[in-house]
Amino acid sequence: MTAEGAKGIGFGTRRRIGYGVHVVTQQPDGLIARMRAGDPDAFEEFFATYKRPVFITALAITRDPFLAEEILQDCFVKAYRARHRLRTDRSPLPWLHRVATNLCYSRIARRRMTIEPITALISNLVADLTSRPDQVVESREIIEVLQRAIDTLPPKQQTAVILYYLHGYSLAESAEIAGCNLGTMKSRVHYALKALRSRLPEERRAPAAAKVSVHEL
Amino acid sequence: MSCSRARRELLEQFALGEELGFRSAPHLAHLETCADCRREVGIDRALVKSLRRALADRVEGYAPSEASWGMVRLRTVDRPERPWTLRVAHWGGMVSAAAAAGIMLFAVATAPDSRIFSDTQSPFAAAARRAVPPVEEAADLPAAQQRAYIAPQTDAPLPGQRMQLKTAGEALPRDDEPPITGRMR
Repeated sequence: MTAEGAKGIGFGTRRRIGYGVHVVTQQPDGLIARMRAGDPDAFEEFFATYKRPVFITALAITRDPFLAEEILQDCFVKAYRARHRLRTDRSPLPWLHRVATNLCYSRIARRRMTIEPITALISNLVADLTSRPDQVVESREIIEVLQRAIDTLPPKQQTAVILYYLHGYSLAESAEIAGCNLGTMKSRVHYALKALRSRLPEERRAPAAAKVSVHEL
Repeated sequence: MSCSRARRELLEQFALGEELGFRSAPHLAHLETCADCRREVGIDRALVKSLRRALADRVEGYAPSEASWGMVRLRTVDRPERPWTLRVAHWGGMVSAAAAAGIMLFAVATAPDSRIFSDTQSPFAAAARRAVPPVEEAADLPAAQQRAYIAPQTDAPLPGQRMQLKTAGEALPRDDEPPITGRMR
């Protein structure tokens, strides 16, 4: 590792992520170095390599493909301007994710997006009790409720949930992307789950005749 | 094993990975005997599963458009480098604007009526106090004048002139007028 390469951000192994796409979290050979040298093809390769995970993060947070596209472009423009500060020995993906999440939340705040209160949705749900809690929670309506509930999570918890459950990053990697320590990331995921569960309708959360076999768990 | 411990550890199992070894004997033994915990664990597991599905639904079928690289390229690689003179002019303008804002803030903060820095005596406020001394400063006057002192209600004296203080007789208000307390705002 060069002294120059030791400055910056990143992590790296090849792994399978939650939405079924292989993401190279290890930097292709010399990509950043070639970008720094002013090779336009290198930046195109950089864009092609990292655009999808960044877009997915932006889309998961904003739920607006057009806004996600804008954020993707802004994110890579920032990356191009900061190419001399990127590490050459590690993946720039954590940094790109962090920039994308920051851009998402600043755009959301600017647009003052209004989110429908979760209580209104819950009250409209038709009772659909079954004896299996997993079947109950997996129903389509519950997924819709969860979608809304994810929107109401605080930004840090929302980011934690997206990184951990959607991208499939480990807790350590999620913590690195979010710029916090491992314990904090665990705590954010834990409280996010607690909040999501509390937003589920009570009758669906705890059906009376729930019987789950130990072996099914 | 208590229910609270079992639920906490099993929730972590579902939520945070496999480190806890969910299928360990104490957990299984507890679940065999506790229907409440089985139900709670089932709900937690289903919640995590539903959460993954909900998040996947958000992004399913979407991808960055083909035009996005073109837009990024226009704003980065194809953008001509600005000459250093323009960069200097840009930053010079920013610095000038910041300096002007700073001067305005200073003027506002140090104005006589300003309460922003209540503990400091600004040059403006000091000049105002010299011109129109507040009633507390009457304590420095001779006793006779101190009793008769009221805050001046007229224009401040010109530089080099002494303040013309009214005597008690002169200051007595008429019956139909409210008394002048000498308190200054």
